[in-house]
Amino acid sequence: MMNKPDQPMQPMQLALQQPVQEQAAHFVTRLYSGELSAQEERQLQQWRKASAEHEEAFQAMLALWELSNNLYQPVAQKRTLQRRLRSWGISAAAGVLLSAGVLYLATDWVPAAGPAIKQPMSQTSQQPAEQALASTVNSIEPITAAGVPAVVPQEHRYLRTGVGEVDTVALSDGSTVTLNTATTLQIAFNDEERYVVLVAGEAFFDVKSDMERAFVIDTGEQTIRVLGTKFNVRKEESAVRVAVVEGKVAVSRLPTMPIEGGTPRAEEIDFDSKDYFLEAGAVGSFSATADVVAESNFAQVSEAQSWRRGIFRFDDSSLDAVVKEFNRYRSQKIRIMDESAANLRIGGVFHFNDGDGLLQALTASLPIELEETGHEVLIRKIP
Amino acid sequence: MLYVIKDKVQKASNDKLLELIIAEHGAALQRFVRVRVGQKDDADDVVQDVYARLAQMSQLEQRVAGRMDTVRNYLFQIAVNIITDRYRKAVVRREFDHVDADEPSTIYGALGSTLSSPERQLEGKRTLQLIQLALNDVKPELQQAFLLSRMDNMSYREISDTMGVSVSTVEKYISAVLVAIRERVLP
Repeated sequence: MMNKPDQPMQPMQLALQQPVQEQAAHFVTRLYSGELSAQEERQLQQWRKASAEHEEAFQAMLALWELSNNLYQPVAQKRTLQRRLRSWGISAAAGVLLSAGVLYLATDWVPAAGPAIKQPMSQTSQQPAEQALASTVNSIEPITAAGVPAVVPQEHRYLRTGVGEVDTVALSDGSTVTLNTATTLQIAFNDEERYVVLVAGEAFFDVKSDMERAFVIDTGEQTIRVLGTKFNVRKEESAVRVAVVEGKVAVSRLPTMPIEGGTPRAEEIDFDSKDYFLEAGAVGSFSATADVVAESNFAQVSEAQSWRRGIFRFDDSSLDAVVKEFNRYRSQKIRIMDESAANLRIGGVFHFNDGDGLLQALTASLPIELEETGHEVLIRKIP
Repeated sequence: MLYVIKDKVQKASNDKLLELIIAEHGAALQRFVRVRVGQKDDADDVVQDVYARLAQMSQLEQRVAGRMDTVRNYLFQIAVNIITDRYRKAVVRREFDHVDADEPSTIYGALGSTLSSPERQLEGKRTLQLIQLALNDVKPELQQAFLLSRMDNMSYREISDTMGVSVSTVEKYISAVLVAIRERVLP
C-alpha cells in the first residue's frame, strides 16, 4: 500500500508566519503523519535550532501528544481491576439477582429497543470494531506477552451523538446503550472487562449479565461497575448523576490514573472503602465535594430516563432549569435575559422532537416574550 | 506439540513480514526517531530495538493484516516507548550519581515523565484531565479527528476516509486540537 502523493500542509512559507505554538503543533502533526519529507525534516531541525523557545515548544507539544495516548487506557488497568472485582463480584451478583426485575413492574420505562423518538437517529458516528490492532496498540503490552495467543472478544470504538440526536446502539456483548443528546462514549471491551468511558453527556445502559467480564463505566471522577443491570448515567459540569432502574450498581471514586502502562500500586487503590452501592430505584449524585445518595425514589428514576421516550417532564421547575435542559438538545440556544424570567415556575410534559412547540408552550403558559436572533432565542419577561 | 509447530511457522512468516514492513516504513521510522532522539548513533540503536521487538511478537501477521498503513503508527509508538525507557534509565542513573536531577532539562521531563513518584503521577493525571477539558471544548469534528488518531490509532488517511475530508484537513484539525491542548495545559 504505497502512499498516494497527497498534498501536505504548506510546510514552511506559511508555517513561519504562524505563532510558535501553531508551528510546533504543525510539526508534531506532520512528524506523526509518517510522511515527513526530507525537506520538512531539515526545516523542522532548523526551526528547532533557531531558538530555545522553538525547541521548548516542540518538546512540550510532543509530550502532550504522547500523553494524550493515555487518555483512556483500560487495558493497563485490567490486572488490578480483576483483583478488585474478585472481592466485590459475589455480593454484587447476588444484589443483581435479588433486585432485578422489581422495578420493571413498578415503573413505566420503555424497553431500549423501541423508544418513541422520531428523530434522525443514525447520525451516531461509529467506527467499525475491526481494529484488533488498534486496541492492542494502546498498550504495548502484547510485545512482552509474546508467545501467548491473545484471542479476545474485543470491541473498540467511539460513539457520539450530535445536539438533538438520540441513538440506541447494540454492543458486541449483547448490551445496549442509548445515547442522549451531545453524548460521547468510548467503548473498550477486552477479555477481562467491558470498559466504557462516558466522555460527555448522558446514556442509558442495559447491560447483559456476564459474570466473567464486569461492565465498568468511567466518568472521569467515578467508576461505575455492574455485572448486568439497567441504569442511567448523566455527566454534568460539576457532578455525575446515576439512576438505577434494575439491579444494583457500585459507584467508586476513580483511583489515581496509572500513567503509561503502569499499574496502580495496591495502596493507591483502596476501592472498597469508598464504594457506594445503589439499589434499584436509587438516584445518586456524585461531585468533587459531596456524594449524595438519595433513598429509593422510583418517580425520580423514571424521570431521569424519560428522555429515552422523547419526553421532558418538569414538576414546578424554574424556567432557568427548564431552558438549561432544553438547550442540551438545541443548536439554536435559548437565553433568558432577565432574572425575574429565570425564576418563573413551570411544570408539565414536553416532547422534545418538537423544538418550536416547546417555545410556544412556554409563551402560552408564562408571561414571557421571545426574540429570535440568528443563533439564539432570547426570552424576556413581559413587564 | 501442535503449538510448537505453529510457533515455528509463525516465526518464519514474521521474518518475511518484518522485511516487508522495513521496506515499506523503514525510512519513515528512521526519520521519526532521528527527529526524536537527535544523535545518529542513538537513533540507529532505537530503530534496531524496534525491529527486535517486532520480530518477537506473536501473531504479527494477524495484527497487521490489511492495515499496513497503520503499522507505521505502531512502529512509532514502540519507538517512543523505547526512547522513554532510555530517558528514564538515564534520569535514574543521574539521581543515583547525586547529580541534580530535579531540574527537568526539558518540559518533556516535567510533562511526559513516566517516573513513578506520586507527585509525577498526580501531575500526569492533572495534565490528562486538562487535555480532556480542552478536548471537550473544541469543535466535534476536531475532537473526532484527534481521538481517531490518538485513541483508535488510525492513520490520517484512514481518518480522512472515515470523516470524508481531505488528509490535509485532518492534519489541520489535529494541529488545532494540539494548540488548544497546549493553551489549556500550559497557559
